[in-house]
Amino acid sequence: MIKRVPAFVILFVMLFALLLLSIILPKQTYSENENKYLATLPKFSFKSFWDGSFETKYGTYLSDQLPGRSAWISAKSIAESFLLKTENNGIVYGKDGYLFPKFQSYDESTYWDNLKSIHDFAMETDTPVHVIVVPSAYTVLTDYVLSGLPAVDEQEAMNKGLPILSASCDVINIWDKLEDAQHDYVFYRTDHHWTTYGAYIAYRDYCEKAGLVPYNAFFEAASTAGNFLGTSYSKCKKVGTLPDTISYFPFDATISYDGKTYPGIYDFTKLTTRDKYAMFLYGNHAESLVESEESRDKKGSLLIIKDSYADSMIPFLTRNYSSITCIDPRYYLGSIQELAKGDYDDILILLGFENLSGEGNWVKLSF
Amino acid sequence: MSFSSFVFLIRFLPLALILYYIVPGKVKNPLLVVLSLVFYTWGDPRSLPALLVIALAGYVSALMLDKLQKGRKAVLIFGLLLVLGSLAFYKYLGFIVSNLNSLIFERLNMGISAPKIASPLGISFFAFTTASYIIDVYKGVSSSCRNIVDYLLYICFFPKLLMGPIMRYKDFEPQLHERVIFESQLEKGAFRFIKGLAKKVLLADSVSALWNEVTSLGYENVSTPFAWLGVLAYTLQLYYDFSGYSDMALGLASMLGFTLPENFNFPYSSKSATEFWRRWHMTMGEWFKQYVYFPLGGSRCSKSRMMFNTFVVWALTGLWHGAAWNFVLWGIFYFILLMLEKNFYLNYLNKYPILGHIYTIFVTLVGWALFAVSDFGSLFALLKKMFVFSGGYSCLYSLRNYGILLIVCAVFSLEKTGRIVNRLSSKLWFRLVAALVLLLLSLAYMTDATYQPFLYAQF
Repeated sequence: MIKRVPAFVILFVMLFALLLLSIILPKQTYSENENKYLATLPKFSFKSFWDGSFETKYGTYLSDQLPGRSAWISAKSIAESFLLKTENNGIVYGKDGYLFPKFQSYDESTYWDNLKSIHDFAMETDTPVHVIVVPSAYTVLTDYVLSGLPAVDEQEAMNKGLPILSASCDVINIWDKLEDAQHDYVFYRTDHHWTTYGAYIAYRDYCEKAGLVPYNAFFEAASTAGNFLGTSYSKCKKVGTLPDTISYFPFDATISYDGKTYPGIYDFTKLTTRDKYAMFLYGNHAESLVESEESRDKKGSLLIIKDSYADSMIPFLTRNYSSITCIDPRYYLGSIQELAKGDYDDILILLGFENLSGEGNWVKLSF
Repeated sequence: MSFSSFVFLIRFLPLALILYYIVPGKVKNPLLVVLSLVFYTWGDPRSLPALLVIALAGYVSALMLDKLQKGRKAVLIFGLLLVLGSLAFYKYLGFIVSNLNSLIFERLNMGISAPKIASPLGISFFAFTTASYIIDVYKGVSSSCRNIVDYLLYICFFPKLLMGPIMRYKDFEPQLHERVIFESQLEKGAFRFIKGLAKKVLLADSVSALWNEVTSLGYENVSTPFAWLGVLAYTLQLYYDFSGYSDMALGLASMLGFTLPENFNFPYSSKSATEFWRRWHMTMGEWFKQYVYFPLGGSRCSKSRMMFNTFVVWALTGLWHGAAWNFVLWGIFYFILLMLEKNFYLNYLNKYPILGHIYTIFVTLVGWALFAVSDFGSLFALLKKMFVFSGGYSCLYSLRNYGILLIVCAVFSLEKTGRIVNRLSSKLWFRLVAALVLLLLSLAYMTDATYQPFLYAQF
């Protein structure tokens, strides 16, 4: 048969095999790479069939549960590299194994709305407000980006936008310091976050501005966790990607969230999962409290309104503040302005540029 | 459902083929009708009534046309009004209302809201098929089909239902009953289907990312070469998308023992716009020729009348592609080109093929630019960027990233390459390797397209 009608046999056998396998094989429940629960067989009803939602869900179910799903995705990544593509699934390949998320446009009005919300927020409180905006890796690591990549000029956007905050906040520009240190591993290669060293550079700058004595970190002596393949890798699955190493300092501090207190600020169980960055402060929470008895400054408490970039910087801040309240405006439902009326010595707003220019959650600051 | 979806590939198609091959001959046509209706309903359940009403309008009109001695013209007009009126209602009502609004009503301060009607999947194709059937029966080219199953199969045959090729009943009728499936048809069909799938999934969808990039960067912000590169990508995307779909349709039909008409014949290898339209979406061109151009008098009339006829054909061709003015503009653009070629320089283009190719590629790119952008402000920005040289985001990165893909796309759009592939296709080892590799890659790319690591949860 295959000698007479080879293409037909290949087509039929392959599709029929996938049909059978997709029915027989046990279903997967969770995809770590995609950070989501995979679709299960949707329930049929005439209503859901009529409005098309059943068909859509069934399509997702088939693709989510496709036999060998992960292998197919890797195969595509390999095929793309045969085409000498310099990117895959929105991740641009830089030099030295750097993987950069492609960031080509943002909504300017959202950006300005968010800046205005921060400004309004800072005007409402008597506590000093410091602002750190973390640039995306590709804008800082100029020596590692392929030339000519069309991308958002974050530096220009910040130079235009951040001055409107200077009337109400202390804006800490960490750009130059990060760029100067670009050869010193300030961003992960396989993840969009900055490394602990990148966070440390910002930390020292912050201390200087806030009148604190910075903790002297010796990175040669830091604890490390290897084999970290971050979100950028998950997206592009580039063959031959070298994993990153996470550095951390085992400070004596505790974290509480959702009514529970945990000893230590690192969740080492996360090191066995893909999302190893979530070891810092046990991942994302609406509100958490980090406490430490070892703070060296007189200042006692800090309110930090942040996204996950802050997670690797907060451990250093435990050396300066005995209590740090962390708020993630994407999940926090209460009034942040109300919260800021509490007894804090400093307020720090720390977020990535990409977050500041999108999503719109920062508008919550003005309520 | 789309041919390049998992529902089709790993559910519908293998099951449909098995059923079709094992049922006895008499049951094959009814089975195909049921399968076709399932196929349609899965993609657009709410529009099944619209499909059936339009199809039945054709069925009843044709029966009456055959029976009646008098009043045939009235039946013809009524039938066509029903079929083409539905098309106008679904596809163009919003467009008509919004134009009337800006022309008249808003000036009188009484704007009416444009109704939002979801157009049934594939209506442009099955309405045209039905209309051609009514006209052919009226003219006596075909006699009406009494058997409702056969008739529904002609209108709803799933390989051609959603995107053609548009087929006349006189070409479909002989295949309704006397068909034997030869091994050669299975093989040719399967190979063609895989080729079409690869064209759609591997080439069209990949190269479309480049055009999307230019769009999202903004036509004002890219450099002139980048704008042209984007339009080139769009040009290739359209060809591989549509001709890939046609290949899949013809391949599927072949595996079921049917022969559908060819729709594309390497249009980008043309030496003139005139030739381009003999090679691009051929069955649609033929439809407009048969049912609009000839009835208007075609070219057997005065020169000015012929110009008018051609103009009508091209304005309608434009409008058929979408309810927006840029499509009309695109149609008129081709009207002007065809008239210029016919009256002035077609002979030169044929005499100097290199010149002809360069000219055709140029006008095709400009044409697709008109086709691509519906908003006139953006369209103007794009055209200005293309024709007034200016800087902006450089295209070097994209050229490097998409370079090989663009070359592959360009090479396989050439007739010469097609001939080589055809010659190789007669060899067993080639079909074996090509079918295996292309199918595996297509499945990999399809899977990847559904893969969305949830980046933003991580910030």
